[in-house]
Amino acid sequence: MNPPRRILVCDDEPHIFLVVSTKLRNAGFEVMTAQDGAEGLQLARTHQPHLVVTDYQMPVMSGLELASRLRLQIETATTPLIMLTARGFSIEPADVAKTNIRVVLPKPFSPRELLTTVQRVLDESGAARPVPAATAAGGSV
Amino acid sequence: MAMGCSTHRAENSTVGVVGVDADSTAAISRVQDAPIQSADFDALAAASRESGLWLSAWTLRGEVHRADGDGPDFLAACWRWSRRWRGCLSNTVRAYADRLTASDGLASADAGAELTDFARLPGLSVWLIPIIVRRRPMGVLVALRLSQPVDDEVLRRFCDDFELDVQALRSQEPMGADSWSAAIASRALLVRALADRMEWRTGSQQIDSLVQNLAHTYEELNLVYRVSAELDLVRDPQELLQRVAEETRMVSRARSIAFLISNSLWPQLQTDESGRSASDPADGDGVRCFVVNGECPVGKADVQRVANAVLVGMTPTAPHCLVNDVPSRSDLAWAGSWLRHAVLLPLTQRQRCLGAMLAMNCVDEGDFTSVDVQLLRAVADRVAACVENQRLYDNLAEMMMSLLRVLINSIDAKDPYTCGHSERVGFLSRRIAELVGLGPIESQRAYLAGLLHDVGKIGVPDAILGKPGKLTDEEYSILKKHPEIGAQILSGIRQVQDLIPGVMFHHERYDGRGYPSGLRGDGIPRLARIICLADCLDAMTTTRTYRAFLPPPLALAEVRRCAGTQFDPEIASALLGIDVVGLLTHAHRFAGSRLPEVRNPLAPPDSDPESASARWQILSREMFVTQVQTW
Repeated sequence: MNPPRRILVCDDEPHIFLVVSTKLRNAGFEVMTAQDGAEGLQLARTHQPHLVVTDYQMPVMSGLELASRLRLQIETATTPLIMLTARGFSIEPADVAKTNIRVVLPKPFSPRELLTTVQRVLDESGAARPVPAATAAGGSV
Repeated sequence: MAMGCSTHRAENSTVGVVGVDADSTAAISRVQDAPIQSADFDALAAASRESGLWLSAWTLRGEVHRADGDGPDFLAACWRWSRRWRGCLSNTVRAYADRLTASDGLASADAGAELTDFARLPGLSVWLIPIIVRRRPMGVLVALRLSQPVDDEVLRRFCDDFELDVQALRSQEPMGADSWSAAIASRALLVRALADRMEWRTGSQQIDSLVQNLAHTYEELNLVYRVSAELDLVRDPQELLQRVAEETRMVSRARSIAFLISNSLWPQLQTDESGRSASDPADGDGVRCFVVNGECPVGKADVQRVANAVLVGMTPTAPHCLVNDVPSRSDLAWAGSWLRHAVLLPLTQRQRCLGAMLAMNCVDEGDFTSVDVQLLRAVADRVAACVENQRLYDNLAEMMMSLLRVLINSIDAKDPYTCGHSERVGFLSRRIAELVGLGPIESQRAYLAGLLHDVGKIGVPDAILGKPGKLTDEEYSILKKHPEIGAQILSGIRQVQDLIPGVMFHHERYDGRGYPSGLRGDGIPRLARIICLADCLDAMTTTRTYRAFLPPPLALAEVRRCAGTQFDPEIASALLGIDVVGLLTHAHRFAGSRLPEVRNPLAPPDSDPESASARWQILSREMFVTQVQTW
């Protein structure tokens, strides 16, 4: 029985981090939340999540900066990230390439799609899937 | 009041009573009956412990839900060891609950009760506090507090009453002095704490519900964005609808989704006196586009029957019809073996019904809800707009082509021998373009160019065009102007600019001895080289005022002979590789004419039922959308 994979969700908007964390928790992941980049950075250092889902536009520290800093931190140098951005807002691929951001998803995103993306990124980075407590065949929210 | 956990937790801290003592007052096994959530009770119990309180939670029927296994040991021990004690508490709760619910069922937290010197034990207080959710009592919180030490005589009597062992009970701490000073508990504080907790719990549940709803809304929004992006006017409708159905199905709870688009507008559903509609909305021929996506155990015919049946039965202006129990509807019972739920959404634009979207069966155990219908409606609206646009577009394109044909045919009709010539050159050009490897869009443009290649003849006097004999040099030089005149005419139409080189240079020769410019080889635009061959092929095989026709084999021999001089050799060999007689026959059918043949009295007459469909093969949306600049 695998221990649950830890995911850090970083977003200043409650409606986003609540939807994301609920979806991921229901799928069996252990979820921590942070409301800005600085808090996320600290949580990541102490708890070493297997994956970070972060918004791009945040106060104090943007998602991109968070990604860069995570790369520089020893404890989180290889942690993969998924970045959420407002639709139509493009990020320089060059900037993305300097970090461990694996996927950029525009908002509004499909929570279901986010879940499969999370599982894919974790699979690719070598972490096993958790066993969810209870999921209906069709996938519950 | 602090909600933090106590610093020490004994092994069995809070214990649910399920399974502890089968004989004790029946424990609750279903969470729905629970008067209070376990997490909430544990928090309250932990906080109360420090004030010397022992907490337990009960249903209104006097069944214990959860009891503090830690805390003041005397009280905890009584609970653990004495069945009579438990029974006594149960009866007390029961009596209190009966009084509580005797009124109209609503109660306030102030309606609690306090019993002092309970069970003839001086200093033992029992607080009964109703657990209220939205002004309705859900259960009773019972707090026990012993505020003074028990003397031996009283203890002995107590133990007799409740079948407890005196020595064992005596040894329970805290009977000592410390506990009494800690008893600063106040009933008011506990009531307040419980109320806060219940409020927080309600809020928390509301947030959970909101989050569920929000997540679903995101899915819907995402779907609508994606579907809107997919609704591309130029794509093949079948493929487009299949994709939209697939995307929608992934997000919705439907097992399968079907789109039916009718050929003509489905009539307004007007029922006559008998209640039947004026005409059957979509019979087999009337359906232009029909896709079914997902698991569907029956064929399209049955799906269509369902769609018709539902459509006929609904109000014409209703945005949807939801049937969650198909077998119970008499007009749909025949489908009951494979269909349980159905949602039909008419695709309407400007009060006209263009078709329908049908969602069949749910993926999970439930029914289709209004939330599902909302999602489907959002998609249906977009599809309806797209279908209508395509229809309008097709109408316009059809009109344009008809106008064009009328124009060209009127030019060709001046000479009965050239009747249909431009149509045939268009047809042949398109085929030849395909043979040399041009894509479908470019080939369609070649058709258009072929159709227009002789439009410049309108500037050439009829006398010259219809002259039976040989033309004088002067007459010939006037005739030779028609490619340039054609190009000039077309220069006024922005959408056919790419066709102008084909029209202008269709009389150039590969060896450079053509007109108007004497271009040679690959310097001649490829479209012009194609049209040149098509034009000559048709001219050779039809009768003209100035000469008879050439039978196809002889015409082909000419093409072979002139490959490299008059014609591009590559294009010529592509043509020579196929059944040219068949091609010419088709071209004539398309143009409504006949391929002249050496007379054979036994040959059956031509019938051309296929000309209409052949015509339709040419007309398609794509040719009007892109102008290809790569000639």
